[in-house]
Amino acid sequence: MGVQLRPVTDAAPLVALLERQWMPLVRLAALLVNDADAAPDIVQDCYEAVWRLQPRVEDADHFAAYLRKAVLNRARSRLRRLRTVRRFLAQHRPDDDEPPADRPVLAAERHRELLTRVDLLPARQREVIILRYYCELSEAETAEAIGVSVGTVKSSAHRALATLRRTMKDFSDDH
Amino acid sequence: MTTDLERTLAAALRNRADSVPGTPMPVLGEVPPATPHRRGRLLPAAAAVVAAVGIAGAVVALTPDDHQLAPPAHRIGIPADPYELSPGEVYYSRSVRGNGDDDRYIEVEVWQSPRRTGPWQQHAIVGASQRHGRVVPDPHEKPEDTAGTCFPFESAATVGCKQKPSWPVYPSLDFLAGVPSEPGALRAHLRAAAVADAQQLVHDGVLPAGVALSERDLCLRMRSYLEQALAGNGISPALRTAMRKVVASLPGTQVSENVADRIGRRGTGYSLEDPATGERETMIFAGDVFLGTPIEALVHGVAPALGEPPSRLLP
Repeated sequence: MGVQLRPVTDAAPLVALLERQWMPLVRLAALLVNDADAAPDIVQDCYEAVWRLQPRVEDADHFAAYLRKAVLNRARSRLRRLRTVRRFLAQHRPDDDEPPADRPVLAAERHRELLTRVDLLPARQREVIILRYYCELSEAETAEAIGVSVGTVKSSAHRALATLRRTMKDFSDDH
Repeated sequence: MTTDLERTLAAALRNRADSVPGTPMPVLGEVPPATPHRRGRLLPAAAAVVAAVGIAGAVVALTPDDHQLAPPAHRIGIPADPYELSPGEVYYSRSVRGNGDDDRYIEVEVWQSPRRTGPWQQHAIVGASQRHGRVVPDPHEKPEDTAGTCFPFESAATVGCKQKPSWPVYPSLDFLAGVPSEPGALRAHLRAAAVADAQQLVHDGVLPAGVALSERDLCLRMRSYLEQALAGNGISPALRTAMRKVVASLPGTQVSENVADRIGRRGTGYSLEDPATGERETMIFAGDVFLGTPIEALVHGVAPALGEPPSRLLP
């Protein structure tokens, strides 16, 4: 069954905006779910929903923020499901966090170790860390994207950094 | 971004993102929409985090600061039942959190209307030390003040607020008022919610049909529901007692005495290990009062209005 589209006179501006945001959002989704293969599906899912709405976009920045929020929600939903699946499969699958051998690996061992620790953070702390330090969003923008208060963002970031600092000994004196 | 850790973190995330292979954007409108996601799953984590961070458990005594700041009881007409709110009063809660191995503390105060879609307010400060259970603010860190409606969501228009409250999504005040306070019935209620949550995953095709939940997975789910609810407001003493009994009764739970919360209050620790992560989560109770965890201390109370100091704290 196809998607019913509203009649539009000119979809080109919307397509252009979606094209521009495609790979940044795919990368964001890949970070959020730690799965490069699933990331395009997550973003496409969002895009299909947007496409059905055919919004008139007057502010590209706000639209990008809206898309980011949509990707975040879809990634969150997927992660919650994966977490349950992993619990079921834990006894059969030794290590879900290890990247496949054919996936490009990080050059720096330090980065790899740090990212492994990031992957082990609670979901909300991971989201805050990714939005703050990869997307370089402000605390207010991060709060808007996640749908929580700035205070929660601040406390989540603090907790996450404290955890990383504790587990990464070479950062332990770094404040 | 000021620290080596933060700089390295940003670089590592960029490297990982750059390793994602480029894919062309698909032609839109030609693919059937994906299976609808359960809307109940979009925001429960927000609820859990805000609830866990922003709202609190209970305390056994007023701190000196609270005594100093609280308005006289007769001015606000304290009801005979301290848990009963007088007109205009709001729930007050406070969380003091810190990992214990650095010198940073976060204190989050929340004022919450008893109505689900009523207003709420939050005040967060960061400091390097705590005194009498309160964080001493760092003069270089600005306090954060936020507000909204339909706690813990930003407004009644959000998806989270429109969801039907439940154990896994967000146990709102009206939801908690309707759950059983007899331990056996409560445990059955929680278990049914955990099973229903898993069945929904089967229905959605995430899990194969016929799969069975392990007992430990059920227990972990039930315990997470309880921890989220106990961190929030609106728990009657009878329900709280039942909740502690359920926590204590979950198979695999280890009990330790003299376990301290983040501000040094001591109680009985109930720990359960998550085999998926190897992490042991501990909930600390003083009697039936939920104090928090080893890295967090929770306080519950009642305030005469949003943003006002608490007029009484609740055990």
